[in-house]
Amino acid sequence: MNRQGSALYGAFTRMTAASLFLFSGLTLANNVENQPKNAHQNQLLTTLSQNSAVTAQGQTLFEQVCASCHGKDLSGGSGFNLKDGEWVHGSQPSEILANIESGFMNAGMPGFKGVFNSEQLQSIVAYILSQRQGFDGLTYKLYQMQSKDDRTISDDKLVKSGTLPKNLADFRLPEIQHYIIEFSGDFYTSRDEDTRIWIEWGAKADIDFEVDGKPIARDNRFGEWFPTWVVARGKQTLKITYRSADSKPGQRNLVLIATNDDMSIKKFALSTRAQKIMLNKKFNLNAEGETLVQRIKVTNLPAYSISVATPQQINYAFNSRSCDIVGLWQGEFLNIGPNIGGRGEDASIPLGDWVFHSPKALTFDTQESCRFMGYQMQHGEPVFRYTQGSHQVQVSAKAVTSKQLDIHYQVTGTAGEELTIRLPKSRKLTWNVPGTNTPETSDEKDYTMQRVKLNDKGSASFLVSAQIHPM
Amino acid sequence: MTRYLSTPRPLAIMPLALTLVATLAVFSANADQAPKHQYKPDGYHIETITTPKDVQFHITGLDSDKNGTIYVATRLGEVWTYKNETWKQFARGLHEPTGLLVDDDGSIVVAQKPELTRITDTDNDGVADSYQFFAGEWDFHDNYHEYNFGPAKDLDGNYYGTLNLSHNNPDAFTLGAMGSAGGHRGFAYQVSPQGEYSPYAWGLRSPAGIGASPQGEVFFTDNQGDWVPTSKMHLLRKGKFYGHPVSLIDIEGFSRDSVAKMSLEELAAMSEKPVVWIPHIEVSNSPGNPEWDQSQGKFGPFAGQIFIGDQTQSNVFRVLLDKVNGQYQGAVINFMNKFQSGNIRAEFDSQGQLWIGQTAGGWGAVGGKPFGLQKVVWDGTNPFELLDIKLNAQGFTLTFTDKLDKGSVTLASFTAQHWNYHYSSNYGSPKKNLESLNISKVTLADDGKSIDVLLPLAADRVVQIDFTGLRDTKGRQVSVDKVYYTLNQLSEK
Repeated sequence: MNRQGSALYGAFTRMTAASLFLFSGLTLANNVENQPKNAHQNQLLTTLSQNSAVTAQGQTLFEQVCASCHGKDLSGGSGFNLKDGEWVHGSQPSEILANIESGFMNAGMPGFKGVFNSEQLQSIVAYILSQRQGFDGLTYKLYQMQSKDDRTISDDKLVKSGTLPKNLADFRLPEIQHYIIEFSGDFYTSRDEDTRIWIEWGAKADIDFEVDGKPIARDNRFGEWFPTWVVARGKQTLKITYRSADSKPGQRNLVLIATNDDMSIKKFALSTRAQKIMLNKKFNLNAEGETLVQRIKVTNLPAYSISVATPQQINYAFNSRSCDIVGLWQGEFLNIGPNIGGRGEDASIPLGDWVFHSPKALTFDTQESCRFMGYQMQHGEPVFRYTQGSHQVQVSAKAVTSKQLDIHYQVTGTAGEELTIRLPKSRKLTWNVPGTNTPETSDEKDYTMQRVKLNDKGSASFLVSAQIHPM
Repeated sequence: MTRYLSTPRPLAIMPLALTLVATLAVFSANADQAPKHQYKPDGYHIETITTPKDVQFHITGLDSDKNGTIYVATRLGEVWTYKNETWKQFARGLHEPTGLLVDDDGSIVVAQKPELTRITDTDNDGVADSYQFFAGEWDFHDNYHEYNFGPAKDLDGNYYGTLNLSHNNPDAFTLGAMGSAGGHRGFAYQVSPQGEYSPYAWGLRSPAGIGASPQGEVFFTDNQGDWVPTSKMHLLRKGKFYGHPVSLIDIEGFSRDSVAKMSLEELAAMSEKPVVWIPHIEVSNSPGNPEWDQSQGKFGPFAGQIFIGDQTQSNVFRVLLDKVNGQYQGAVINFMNKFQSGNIRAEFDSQGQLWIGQTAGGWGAVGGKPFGLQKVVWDGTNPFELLDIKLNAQGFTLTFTDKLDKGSVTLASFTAQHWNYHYSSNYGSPKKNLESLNISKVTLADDGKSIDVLLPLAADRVVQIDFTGLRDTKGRQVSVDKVYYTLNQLSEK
């Protein structure tokens, strides 16, 4: 089992690299002669980042060459996180482009100037910019208030202000009893789905949020102790106003985390304390050399799922309650960090791309419930056994290539009996069941039906082969 | 108030250090505090075991075999063995196990969240290859708090486990902090040697520790919280209700509506009394499994007694059982503190060493380290500590491990108080009806080790006796000078 990216190790790598290469970053950023050109380039790259055709091309290139170090989701690995607010070598689009062109050989990153043409390089930068999340250009203002009930901000109460280069709201800045602190900056979120700001244990926090100058409402749909605020999609300005009011000193260092709309995935940190928690939430699990079985809570998979990673980077999940194959994904296996960090409230996140997942499932077309018997490791692969009605079933899977998973069933039942398998439809997938007739399909259902006949001894042994193809 | 395998109420949601401060502030009127000094009996010390490098080694299951091999299950889902200072990975891929048993046939039974699994190395290559479903007919809803603790095994070969309630599960029925979406959450279960599952008892909350006595009786601990005024240990009895109401929804004749309408009096009358209440913070916040010293003296004078670790306080305490009118009750007393992490599991090996499996688990532990393994070893020195306490008609008999200095056995050496708790949906209870007790007489017995303490007695109280002034004949003072006796009933004799 190979587990990468323990939080401590990640943090250490990041700091060491930061201190080593800060100098070169500063050199680039301070190159005064290039400023007019930079302004033009910054504008161009920002525009390109809003062009989906360009970012799609950039994404393809990024995943080919950059993802192995910076993570497919840009959250970092041996290379830096590229979507948070911390830019060690400069945050301007032109600086990012220059850094990709020249690379950091000392850090193991080659320059890509001769590898890609200018348009390709721009598309990579555009894609990176399109994935930005969190604050940029974050500033704060701290006001000293007369009492816990004083809510009126005025210039004469301003005691401290400044910028926060890490683009994280630092709620430890005030060292006074009664205060209001404002944080304000550009703020980036996903363009494809809603983002919520969640304050962990935030029921009593006296706090307001403004997006582009307009207040947004506290949403307690997840309970009083899970207050959230839905922000805009894409780029916006976000202002946070926090009042110490009658909170106790220990309650003032807030944990602000951006989540997806149903709060099932924590996306990024807004505050320094949240960042510490999020660094704990990355722990990648992959099969290297041998198949890996892991039972754990996983996003989009039902309870009782047993996830299996193959060295060919096809992953699937067998469910011990339904006895179905309830998910199939290609690429890296799981980030189990969300599930093992803290108290383990959150689901692990599949790192690859879904081919299908629950409620779609590879299953027998039957109403009979199953009884899971367990699994045995045979030739390095788990063989799952269960009974379903009068049938005894064994199922195992083998990745033939990175694009083909052969699922092997052995069924015993009544001689001559016909069983029907449901093959879930997916545009990324073609099913092939050798030695059987053409499957029955209809547009209304999200699966096709494949009949399999038991022999005169009442058994059948057959392959269900999943052929995954690029979209 | 922060605890492993249990959930804090909204009041106690700050990080650990702050939580402790807040908690102490809330209850400062009662001065409930953990002892600040290091306590350990003479002759005992802690040894720290190096765990495998670069592995998150949160130990949540711990057992040993007759050859002294240590087996651990970790929260990451792995099983490792430790023998001759060497770690070997035996199994992996399990769903956050919180218990492990080395069975008589050498197979390992692991309590993982969805099931009990029997794990075997069938091809004898030193690594498990067979993961067979053993029992799991309860429902697991993928909620982080739905732990499966166990198994313990009785003398007939039956297995027992306990099922934690859920927390923050929107589909669950709650009357406070913890909930049940059904499927025997908050139950203890029994599994026959053939693997037949049956729900066994209910009303449990966050029952993080279960163990069987040498006589085959099964005891479990439950963590302070809603409907549990302070942590406690119970004798597990079939068909009994243990106080947390939400699991009643799985019992015929009850529904979510009817349970919500039940009065405190009705619920209290149905509830089993604990064998011991474990005073919050002073002794324990989040007790783990009860473990019996069966070393017959290899671990010193406490043979036969129960040892329990605490996940929050990073300490170990003892349970001193008494049988009064045929029913168990008894006392708790701190044993050792200053462990490095959260003491969730305890196990005596065949050499009489007390192994402590540790995790801070995200709840935090006084010890500070996130996980680890330590053991308590005795060097043969006879300590001077309270050995035992027994109720009699007029008071208690306290027995010590060494001969007492007669001159110190005076009324001035003792103080006593008693109190009870308020059972409710509130998260824990402060001490109620707290009164100091007037000790009228203390008498040293002829053996020189036992003292009869005369004081007024009332049922349904926790009686605390402090014996700070006592000295042994060598002039030694005890390291722990407070014992807490759960007086459910007075002695008829």
